[in-house]
Amino acid sequence: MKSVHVITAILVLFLFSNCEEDSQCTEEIEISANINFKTVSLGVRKDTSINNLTVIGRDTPYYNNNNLNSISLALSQVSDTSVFKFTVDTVTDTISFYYNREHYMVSFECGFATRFTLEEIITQNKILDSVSIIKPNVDMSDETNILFYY
Amino acid sequence: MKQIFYFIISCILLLCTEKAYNQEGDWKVGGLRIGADLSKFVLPLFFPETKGYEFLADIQILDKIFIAGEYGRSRTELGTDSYNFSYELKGSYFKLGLNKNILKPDEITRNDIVFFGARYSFSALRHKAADISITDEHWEEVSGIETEEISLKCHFIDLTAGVKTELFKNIYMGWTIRGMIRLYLKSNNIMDPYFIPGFGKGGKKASVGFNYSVYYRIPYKITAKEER
Repeated sequence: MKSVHVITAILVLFLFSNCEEDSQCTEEIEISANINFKTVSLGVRKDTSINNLTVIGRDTPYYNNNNLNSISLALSQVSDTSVFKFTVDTVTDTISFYYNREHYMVSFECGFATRFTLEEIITQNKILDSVSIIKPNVDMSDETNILFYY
Repeated sequence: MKQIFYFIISCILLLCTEKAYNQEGDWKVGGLRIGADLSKFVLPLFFPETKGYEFLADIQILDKIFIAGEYGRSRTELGTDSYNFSYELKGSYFKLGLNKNILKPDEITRNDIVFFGARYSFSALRHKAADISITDEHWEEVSGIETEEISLKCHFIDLTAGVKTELFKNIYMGWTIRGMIRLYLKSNNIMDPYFIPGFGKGGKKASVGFNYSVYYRIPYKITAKEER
């Protein structure tokens, strides 16, 4: 009978050790399309930065900085298209992002978020030469999704 | 399916070993005990989001071996007061395995048992979130959307220990502590379950459970003496 008591005590301890408080949301949820600026000269591709760049999406300024070599743009979670206005000096280029959306649960404490799969990016080519999508899945990772050739 | 196969083989081996080494090992089928878990009625006082019930049964097949099983249902509801969505989960579970009475023959009085056991357990659930809102600094906020109803299945093993004591003739009370190990959860990438009925918190690979139950034993037994 002694062994029964010992094993019961161990199981009860295990039972209490399993109890834990519900935690608060500690995760920072930021899902943005990560974009790097590149130039191609004489067939060689290299990183570049853009001076006096202003980026506006839905009338909200995202960036208004000098010397940017990468930007992160949050896409609309209620529409399959997000349109941004890129202005360098006085030239403005309208760039449209087309994608699919999926709402998913991050955790019960943090709630839901939206992840995107990029389909196409269309530019007026007033500032940018071309665009290439290198990682269509836009999620919480910091990896580069898009290259903008300037 | 492989795990179910291994579990059944293990149970058969345990039965054969018990039968071979136990001199009193004649088949003694009977004494079906049927019970209900009282703790399931008390737990909602502390965790009001989850309600459910569980029935338990065991039947003696050898001197010290019982086939044991549990069946239960549970339902979880979360409101938008605690989370930024509402949530509903419904599910049921079934557990089947063996208990071994570890009392020595001189310790056995009446039909009391102190046991260890194992179960193969299966839980199926459906869950859904609604009234989902997602804040957005730049664009329009998401509000009022809902997920589809998502069905999930979970397989797990229970290791049990407990006591059943005869209070009055054929009326038993007892408790069971169970450690559970998740083997397989068929999930999707939209949403993990809040709770797996019969197992515990959805995000965990191991869990513990407790039953405090009352049983009625049907006083009927068949004893088959084998020729030696």
